[in-house]
Amino acid sequence: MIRDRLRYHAPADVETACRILGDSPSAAVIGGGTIAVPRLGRGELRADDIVHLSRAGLAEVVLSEGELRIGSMVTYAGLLATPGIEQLNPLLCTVARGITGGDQIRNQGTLGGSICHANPASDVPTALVALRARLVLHSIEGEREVPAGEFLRGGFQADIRPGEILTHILVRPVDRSGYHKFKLSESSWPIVTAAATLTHDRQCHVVLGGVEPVPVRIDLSQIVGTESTIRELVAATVRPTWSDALAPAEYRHLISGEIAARAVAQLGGV
Amino acid sequence: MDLMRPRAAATESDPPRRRDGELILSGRGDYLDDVRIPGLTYAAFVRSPHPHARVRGFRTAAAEAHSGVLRVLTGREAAERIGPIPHFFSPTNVGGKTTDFECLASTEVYYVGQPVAAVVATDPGDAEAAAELVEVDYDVLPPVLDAHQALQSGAPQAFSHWDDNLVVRVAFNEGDVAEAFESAPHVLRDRVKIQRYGTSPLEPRGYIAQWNPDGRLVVRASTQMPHPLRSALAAMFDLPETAVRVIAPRLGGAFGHKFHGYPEEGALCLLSRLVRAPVKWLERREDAMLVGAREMEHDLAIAFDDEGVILGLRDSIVCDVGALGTSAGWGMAFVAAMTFPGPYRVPAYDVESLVVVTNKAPWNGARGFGKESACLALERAVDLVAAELSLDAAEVRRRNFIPSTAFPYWTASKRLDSGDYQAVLDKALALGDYPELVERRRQARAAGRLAGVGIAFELTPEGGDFPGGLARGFDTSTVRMDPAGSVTVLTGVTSPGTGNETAIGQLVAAELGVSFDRVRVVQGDTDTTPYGFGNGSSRSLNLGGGAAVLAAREVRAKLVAAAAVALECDPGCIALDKDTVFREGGAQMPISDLARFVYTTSIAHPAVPYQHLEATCSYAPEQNLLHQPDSAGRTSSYPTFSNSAHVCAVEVDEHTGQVTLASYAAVDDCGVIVNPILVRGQLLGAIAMGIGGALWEEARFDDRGHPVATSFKNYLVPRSVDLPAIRVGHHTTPSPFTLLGTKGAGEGGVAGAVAAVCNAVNDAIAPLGARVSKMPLSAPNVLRAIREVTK
Amino acid sequence: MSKLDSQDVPGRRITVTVNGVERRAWCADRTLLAHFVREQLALPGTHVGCMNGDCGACTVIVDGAIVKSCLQLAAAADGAEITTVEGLGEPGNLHPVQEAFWAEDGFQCGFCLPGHLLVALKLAEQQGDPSEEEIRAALAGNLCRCTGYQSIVAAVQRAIRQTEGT
Ligand SMILES: Cc1cc2nc3c(=O)[nH]c(=O)nc-3n(C[C@H](O)[C@H](O)[C@H](O)COP(=O)(O)OP(=O)(O)OC[C@H]3O[C@@H](n4cnc5c(N)ncnc54)[C@H](O)[C@@H]3O)c2cc1C
Ligand code: FES
Ligand code: FES
Repeated sequence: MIRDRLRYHAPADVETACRILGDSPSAAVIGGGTIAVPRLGRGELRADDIVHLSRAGLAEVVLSEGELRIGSMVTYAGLLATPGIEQLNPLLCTVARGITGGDQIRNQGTLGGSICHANPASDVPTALVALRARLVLHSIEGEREVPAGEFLRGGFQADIRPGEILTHILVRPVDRSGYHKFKLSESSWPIVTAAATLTHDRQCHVVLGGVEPVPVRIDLSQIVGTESTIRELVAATVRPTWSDALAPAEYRHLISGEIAARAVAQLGGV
Repeated sequence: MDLMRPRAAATESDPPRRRDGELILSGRGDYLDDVRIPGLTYAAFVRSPHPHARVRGFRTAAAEAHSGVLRVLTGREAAERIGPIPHFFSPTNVGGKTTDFECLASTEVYYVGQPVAAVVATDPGDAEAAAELVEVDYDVLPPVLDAHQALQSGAPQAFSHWDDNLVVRVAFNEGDVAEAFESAPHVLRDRVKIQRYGTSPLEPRGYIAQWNPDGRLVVRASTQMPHPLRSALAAMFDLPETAVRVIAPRLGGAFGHKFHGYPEEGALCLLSRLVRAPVKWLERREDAMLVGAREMEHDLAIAFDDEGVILGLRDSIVCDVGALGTSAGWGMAFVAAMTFPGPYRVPAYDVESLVVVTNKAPWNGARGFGKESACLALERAVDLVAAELSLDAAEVRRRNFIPSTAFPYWTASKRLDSGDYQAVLDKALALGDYPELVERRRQARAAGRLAGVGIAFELTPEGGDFPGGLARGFDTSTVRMDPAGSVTVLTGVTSPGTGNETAIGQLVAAELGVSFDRVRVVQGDTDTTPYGFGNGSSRSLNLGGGAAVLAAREVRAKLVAAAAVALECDPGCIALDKDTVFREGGAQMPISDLARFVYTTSIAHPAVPYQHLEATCSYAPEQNLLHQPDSAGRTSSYPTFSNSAHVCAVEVDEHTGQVTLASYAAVDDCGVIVNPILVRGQLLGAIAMGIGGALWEEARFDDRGHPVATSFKNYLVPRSVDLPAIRVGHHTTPSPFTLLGTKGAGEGGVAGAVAAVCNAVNDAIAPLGARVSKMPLSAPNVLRAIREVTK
Repeated sequence: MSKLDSQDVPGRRITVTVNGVERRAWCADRTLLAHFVREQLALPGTHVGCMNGDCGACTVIVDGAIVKSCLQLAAAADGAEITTVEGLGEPGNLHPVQEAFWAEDGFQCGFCLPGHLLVALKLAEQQGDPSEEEIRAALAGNLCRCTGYQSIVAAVQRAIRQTEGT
């Protein structure tokens, strides 16, 4: 049960949303609500005002000049329903299809909400860091753009300033990609996620999530080809610094090389 | 007595579907949360943030000032107004010790999450908001969080007024164990640890307490045991039981979680009295996950000969029952020991169970009820024997089974009624394609993968009878036919969603020769049903159904006598079938006419019995219960024993420790089957729960005594994609000791699944020289076991 | 911190079309859609099992998409078209999907049913021929503690067969 006697707002545009945020002593933004609403219910998130972005015109995916502009209210299902998206960004599609919780969660949860929540074990942060996505943040003071890798500052810590709203996620295509997540069972949050990318300029990277408080990028360009070296490289690079209720840091660390190798294997011969 | 088999049994080609299906399927199930009562108020509880602390005092002003708040009640005040919670079944009944448990703790808290105060408000959100504002001063005391540590001298005491942490030690033994171990050619040891986990019914608990203007307490409770809950509440409030009514609406699953004995039960009644309004409380998922069960560690030794024949068995089980509480949970420790030596003929064994308190939330009953723990230990032991002697695991079981000709078969603590364990196992091996699984394992291993096959045999004591408390092995039903020929069954057993109401209706319909739809089954209301012990121990159909059949037979006798008058013939010529009364070779009349005839012409017509068309009977399979030790010192608190065999195949990912269940088959013997749809459903559900417990479910605590499992995101129950298609079959050896020949279905399957999966995983990692007997077999636990030998 | 003033809880009247019928009702801004449907609209067939998006018992269809109603504020549903389990069929006139669940014993306690039925409805509407694996995947957002899912899978298969061509 939500304890706070909060007020609900569904502003029709971003400007109004930011104004309400700025005016309220304690306001919370909600996107799909799949994380925020239960947190309100448990009293983990407190608010007098709720700014729901559902009517703020942020639910569109637009392709312009080769760049995908994903509104922060685009759900996993919404992304998958975008014409041509499988060719434009197979990595995000793999992530979206693999979100658990059924069609319900894919219909409700947004990519924007996931990156803002900054759970180290989630899928979206890893994928967006791997894709070198840029995040557009809006407030009454104006707009700024932050690379996903900088936006994520720590476990559950995103670089969102008071009064700011994430409006868009900007992603450019990569040449090839691979994604693998490891979870304990269908109910389980991901334990370790790995997104591998091969860019048009032959840069090969793997980004690992769930091992450290923020996704870790590892440059594989020099050692592409031999799986065992990927495992060794990963084991030597990542530090066991993140754990949660499902798995201790040591375990995440132990399997990270293997998970990375599985993602990289999807790139095909490179 | 010559036992009469039920007229309704599985041989019927078209068993009825679940009763009330249309209501449930169309969203009209009327579960507790659906009950509408005007003027409802809502409670929220203030819970201890400490595993162990002395309660110094309360500050409630801020909470009282919160809008919508009607009342704040502290443990201090509650202690002055109501007595301690009566035990479901006190450890003192088996020579142990206990202490008083309060609805709201007034002086000392024993676990994180223990209620210490409560708030009532007009809105549930306001109640929770205000509960946060209640300030409680604590003096933190050292907690003890591990049972082994708790047994050491100088360990902190879970209850500061106790001298140690041992509730009771129970032991069962037969034969000369020392001699058996000394002379045995082989002895193996293992430690098998089963983790703490519960049952998580999809519907959490809930209650609505209300005092009527006449001073009667009416409690709607999602409980499996309305009558014993009534007894407990009457005792706490010092009321005659007639002044309390407990109504259990339809339950959304229970599995032991809804046994009574929770602190909220009495607290809500007190709150309702104080605010003079109905008070409602729904358990949150995190509250539900506090409830523990099963955390046991076996220190096991098995002695055997060169042929794999078991010569002796020793087990010392340390049971971490948390802060004990008043629920039935700790009894699992007793049942775990009592279940030994399972389906095997073991000439000498010595099994003890140590019930140890710690500062974690208490247990409640959990489907399996300790039998899964015993089964896991036994089946691990048998597999160790097989591995040691390089024998087939199924073959070792065959060599040790109690033969089908040996029943009834006595052990120290039970008389096994009937069975054909070898036939059940053979059927399961066939159903599960055992040779094929073994071949596929060979191929997988050749390809460098870790593949395993697991077998387990489960013995499931059912329908337990525990004198000294209100957990008994008998129950009572009333059968009543009204003047229009419709039938009402009122029974003391309840249904948590398993479907016994369907099967009971079916049994009564068959006895009376009426159609299933004519029979209504009423359960769960202490004002209308006979005093009964509710649902648990797979007892409902055995006992409630047995009692209903006896009562139906009495009604039938009256009907037959009246029919003989109405149709002018000898009673022996009367048959009741298809809602019709038949006279042999001639006249017939609708059953409704006969009922009407009885009601309207008795006395006027001297030969027509003028008693109601109603009877109430109790039933217990008493022939197989023995509470005073016999000359050999043996007792028996369970009358009947279902059993099942399980065969499964797994693959283990060497790099991650991930277990994938590739196939699963099981065959059970639950005696006579009244409705195969229901029995199948029970077995499938039990196996799924067993698999969940074997692989994922764990209610862990951190090292400060705080529960880590608080939602379905960190307490992992199986989902559809986690489970393979499960093949099930049945083998029937009727119980000679139960009225219906039934043994009980419901619990059976949990234990075998836990053990079969564990055996399969161990089989899979055996080529590495690894072994894992710390449950659950989650990927991190399995990988740890693998790395211990490969690192 | 929550506010301690005694002013009324912020709320509003919203209009929704539920199971084909337009309804206008008040809701507090903090009310979850699940509770709004159950209490204000008096449609208790939608169940609440976890309030965390995990169990799926609170599943409803909003504007054509299945969602978990414990994850959504009721105020957000203003103007929406909602289908709850009550919208399927009623006693005496069950929907083929409900009939299929009954025939295959696709429930025991029934608490999970609203979610499973609506997922099955969606699958049946798609008029495809999903494999068992695909059906299991479609059910992955819904928990059942009673059945072990097997009979639910069978019920969904039957539901798809029965609604074929309708
Ligand atoms: C049953 C279930 C299964 C799930 N399975 C997965 C899974 O497999 N993998 C995975 O990664 N995740 C999973 N999730 C989590 C899922 O990723 C998130 O639920 C979802 O994507 C978050 O999006 P949302 O819009 O619902 O976030 P919300 O709950 O709306 O918001 C999350 C947080 O971000 C903030 N926020 C949201 N949008 C903005 C914005 N535009 N600007 C500023 N702040 C904002 C909110 O204030 C809040 O703090 C699961 C969740 C559930 C309930
Ligand atoms: S109550 Fe909504 S998913 Fe469980
Ligand atoms: S039938 Fe009980 S939870 Fe599914």
